Amino acid sequence: MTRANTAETAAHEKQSFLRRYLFSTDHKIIGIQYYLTGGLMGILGAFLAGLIRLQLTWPTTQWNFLAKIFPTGMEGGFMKPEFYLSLVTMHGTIMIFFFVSLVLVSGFGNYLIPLQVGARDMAFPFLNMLSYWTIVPAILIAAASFFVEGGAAGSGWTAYPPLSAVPSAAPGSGSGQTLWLLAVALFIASFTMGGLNYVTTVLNLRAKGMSMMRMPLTVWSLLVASVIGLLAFPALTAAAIMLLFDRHLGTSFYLPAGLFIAGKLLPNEGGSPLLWQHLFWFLGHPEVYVLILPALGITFDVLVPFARRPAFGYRVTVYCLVAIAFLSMVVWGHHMFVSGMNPLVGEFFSIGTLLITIPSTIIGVNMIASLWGGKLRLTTAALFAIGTISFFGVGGFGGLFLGNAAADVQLHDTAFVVGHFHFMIGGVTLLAIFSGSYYWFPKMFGRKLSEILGRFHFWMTVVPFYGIFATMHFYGLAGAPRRYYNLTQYEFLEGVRWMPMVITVFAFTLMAGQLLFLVNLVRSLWAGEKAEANPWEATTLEWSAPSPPPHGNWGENDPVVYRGAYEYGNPEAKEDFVPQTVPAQKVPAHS
Amino acid sequence: MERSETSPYGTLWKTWGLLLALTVVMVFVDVMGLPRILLLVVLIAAMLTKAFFISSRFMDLRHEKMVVGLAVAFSLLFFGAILFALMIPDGFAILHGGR
Amino acid sequence: MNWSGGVAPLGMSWQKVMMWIFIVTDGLLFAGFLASYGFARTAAPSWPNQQEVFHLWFISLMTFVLISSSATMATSVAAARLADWKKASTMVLLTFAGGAVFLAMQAYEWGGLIREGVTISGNPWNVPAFGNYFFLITGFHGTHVLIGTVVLLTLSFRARAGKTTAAGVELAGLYWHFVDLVWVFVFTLFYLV
Repeated sequence: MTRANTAETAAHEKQSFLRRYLFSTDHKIIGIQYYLTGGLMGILGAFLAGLIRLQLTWPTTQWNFLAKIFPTGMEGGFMKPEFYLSLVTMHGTIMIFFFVSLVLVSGFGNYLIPLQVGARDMAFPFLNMLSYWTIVPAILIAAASFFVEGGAAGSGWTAYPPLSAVPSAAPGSGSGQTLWLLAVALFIASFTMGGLNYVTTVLNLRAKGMSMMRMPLTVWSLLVASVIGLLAFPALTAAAIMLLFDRHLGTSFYLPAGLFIAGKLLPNEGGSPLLWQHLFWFLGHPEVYVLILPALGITFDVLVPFARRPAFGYRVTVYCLVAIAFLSMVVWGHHMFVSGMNPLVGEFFSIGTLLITIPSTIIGVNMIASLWGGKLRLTTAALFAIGTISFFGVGGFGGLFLGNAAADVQLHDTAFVVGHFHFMIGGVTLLAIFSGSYYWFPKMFGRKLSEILGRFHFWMTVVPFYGIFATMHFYGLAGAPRRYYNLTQYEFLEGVRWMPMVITVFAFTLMAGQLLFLVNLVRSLWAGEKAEANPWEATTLEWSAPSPPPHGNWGENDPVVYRGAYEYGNPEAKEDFVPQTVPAQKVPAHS
Repeated sequence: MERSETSPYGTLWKTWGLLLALTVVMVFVDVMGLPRILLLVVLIAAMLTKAFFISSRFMDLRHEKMVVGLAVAFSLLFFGAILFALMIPDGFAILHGGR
Repeated sequence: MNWSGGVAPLGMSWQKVMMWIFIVTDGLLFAGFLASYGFARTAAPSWPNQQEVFHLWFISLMTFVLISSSATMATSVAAARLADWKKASTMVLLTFAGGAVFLAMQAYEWGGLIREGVTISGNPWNVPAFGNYFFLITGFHGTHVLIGTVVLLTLSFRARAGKTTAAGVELAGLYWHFVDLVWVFVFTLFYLV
């Protein structure tokens, strides 16, 4: 553990703009880079969602201005079916990998982990910088895939073969699919580099006194998420390599005999699409926990200071995070219930999936209980954190239906699933991103975000979100399938024809509400209310560093930790909170 | 970590010899023509033994905290095995049903 | 183990921790390939007889070479710890040589099989999956060996010039032993079973 190196800090001052801000190895700059990059991709993902809503609600309308942006996909102002498939594919891919993962795991993770464990930076800052600069080509490739012949990949973010394995199968199976695979491969490389840093830093670089059970839940959740990500991604790497081979080298990993596509009998034999499904979902399922666990951790970190009482059941929450993580790695088959799998195997996956509800519910209850008896300070950050609990509970209900193999046969690939996962990885995560943003913005930039704009933003997010995705559950129950580009032609959906319209109205409201956040961000960077080191009177370590912290975070001396992360309401303290750095002689430690 | 005063090279020679001997045994058993299940058991047991000695003696896991070796072995073996095991029923279904 | 912060709980430098985690992820990549191979083999009604397709004595020789290179690598780490840089450097060079010989033998084997009509997409026994997995798995393993040889050659010169630490040699060693470990599994599961 090194002392502050003032010579090193001085050398840092002399760096060029390029070295200091663009190719920075400082975890805080890298975190902000990830946050902004992810944010931009989120806007792109939302734009794609808007296009999807237009098609689903008004499939017969001529959109001439869109034909100008997408001359092939929207030729004549009408959406081609293959373009719709590209839209749903890229919306999913971008939102999962290039928005939520980037902002929540890479953005907040990079910024917070060293600060919250008392380190000066990540274990390997150079590798950290590389991990960000690996993402940049990934997103450029993903964006560029829209403009190659055939357009962007069109086999869903799940990229099932044979559609994804045979370049001539559909327009979206051409170069767009290859570029998709390259973008995802680069993402995995970036994530791996980041994950290596996260785990190593938490293990080896904690400050003196920062035992594992004194770490904030944000760090625990990021640690656990990194571990399962590191364990699960290699399977997708293997799968993607084999898919590239099938596409370009004539192998038959996923292609069985007898496929007749685009007028030709393919020469392949001996493979199976089921192999891809297993490998993909071996990653795919833990991936959604990689996204949601940090959201839950952040929610605790935000709720607790605004309830002015310790987190309820900290230790149990840690055990639940670990239990969820382990279980999440052995239930991937619940995405494959309709694949014709052996029913006994289906039961194994079903039971495992339903078991996850137990630690998940305990965590949800612990969140609510962390508010019980507290002196609530309902800041915007707190509102978003409470909203997260709501989304987690309501969205989680859908999981009970889907985890049951028999019920899933009816619900698979309907709008019910879409509603469910948007609550979990689109809602819980989104609200956690916002609560984290309102909470940590002062630390990052030395200014607060506007509370008034924040309140409008909150209501214009949570209410429309329910309007969209709760409705979608019922639309799915009525039988509406997902990934279909025109549902207005089916008589059986006559009774629920009003639902897509309602969803779309709420969707555009939701998008409009986010403009408030963007305005708030930009405005507050220059004109926001100035914030000192600890504007929320919180206990965790990052609040004992200046706002924003300098390079090296802690100045002359490394921090020393004497107590747990959530000492609020300690009866022997003068104030209602005791920061982690206050020695035990001054105030006896309660955790 | 303390190291014994005796030369470390001795253990390495012995491990090398053991690994080579195991390899010879494995090839021999393979060409011998055992019943399938027995062959699998013997070969996999030998393979895991070789893996153990490479990890413990060459990679020096013997001198690290036990949890390191356990975590590495568990991660690789458990997840590799469970991925394989849960794909096998589909494999057999294809074999018998031509799906 | 001391988890109280301010110390490395596993008694390992962060570099070693990171290398071990990397080894696990890279190992899981091969586990993914091997599990897929196992799946394909289960689903395949027939599979070429390895004893007829491969010259097992030749492959065993390759295994011997790689294991020996692992032994020389471990020896070099031991020597580096004793600050015997001349021995360490020589052993690393021998390890490199072993890796290079292994690659040459692998290339020779590939050449032989390709001449017999085994390609990445087809083979005389009409089991495309065999060639698919053979070239995929041995190709990826070979690539890892190749990267290792480059690292080892560099390391050998740096060690002789006194520019490395025992820790650095050990890290390179961990990677090399990992490559050997993967071969142990590939050799058994692809060539013997």
